[in-house]
Amino acid sequence: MDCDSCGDRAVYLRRYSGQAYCAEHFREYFEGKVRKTVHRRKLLKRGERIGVAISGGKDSCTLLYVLDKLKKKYDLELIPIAVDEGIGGYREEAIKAAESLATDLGLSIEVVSFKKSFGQSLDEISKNGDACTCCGVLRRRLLNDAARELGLAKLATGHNLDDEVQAIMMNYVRGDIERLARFGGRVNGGGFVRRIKPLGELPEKEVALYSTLKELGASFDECPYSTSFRSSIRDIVNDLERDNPGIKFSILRGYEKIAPYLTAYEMGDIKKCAKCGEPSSKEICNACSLLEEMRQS
Amino acid sequence: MIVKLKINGGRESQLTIGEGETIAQVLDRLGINRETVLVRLNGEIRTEEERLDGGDEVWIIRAITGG
Repeated sequence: MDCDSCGDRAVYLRRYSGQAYCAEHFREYFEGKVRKTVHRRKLLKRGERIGVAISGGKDSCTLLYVLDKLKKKYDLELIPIAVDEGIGGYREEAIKAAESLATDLGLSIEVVSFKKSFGQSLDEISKNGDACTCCGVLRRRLLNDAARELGLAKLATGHNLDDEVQAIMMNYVRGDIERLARFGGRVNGGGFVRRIKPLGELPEKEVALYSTLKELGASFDECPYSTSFRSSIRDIVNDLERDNPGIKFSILRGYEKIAPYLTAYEMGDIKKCAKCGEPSSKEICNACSLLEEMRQS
Repeated sequence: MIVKLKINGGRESQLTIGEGETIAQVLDRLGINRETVLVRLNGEIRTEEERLDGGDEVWIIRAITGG
């Protein structure tokens, strides 16, 4: 199969549009799609200081690499932030990949860790509870802390289209409409640093291809704590996509259409956690509740 | 016809294919969803529409990860 633009051998067929790309035209398409997403969702403003959450995986390495390409246009200052959760045999190599990419791009990376901040690694914490839930709560806390301490305007994460669609579907099938209403980074202010997802309209396969073609040295390993529920949803969505190319976009667009009608379910006023002063919808924030449980166990 | 097959950097094996069979058809036969992998054909990333020849090296790489 040949590239529709130049006739060179194709590396990718975008099945949902029928277009075939050689490596060079795929790169052009991919970077253009990120620029369009940034423009459509109004993700960046000129002169901003942007934190980039980087794990060393293909998504966050690609994110850092493409944002670096936008740095000049938007006059951005990029600060990569890596969270070392303490997942033995998984995170060490990934953090090295993140550090190596940051060095190649001439950026200084900030590394924060569960062990230093909370006294326990995720491997230790997970002995007493669900690793994914604990990790999500504590990662959010660490990244929000780091983002505020570093005076960042926004925090960019490497979530891709598949992540977005999985989150939407998980909330739907659980009937968790409150969480669905909060989804999409619309909770701003009150101490939360705004999250942006510049890869949010790119399928995971395309991110993996870009990362491979660019030889970013990113990790393709799967987190050992990845939940079976998310995996089930991921498999269902990928089976649907195989048989109905473009369905991931349909799910996202469908969500965008109903999102304005979900405001009744949104989080109420953001309060301050009585213990730590961090923004929270509850009297005591999830991170403090979890840390208290860890102390008592 | 026989092609050499490697999945996620595992051991190389051999697979008998039919005349004009494509990578997509091989993936279907192996029960691998094409949306979840990248494929190197003789060392180069290629689309799943490529037809295979005897002696080809087909490396299937997991592209979808969790966590």
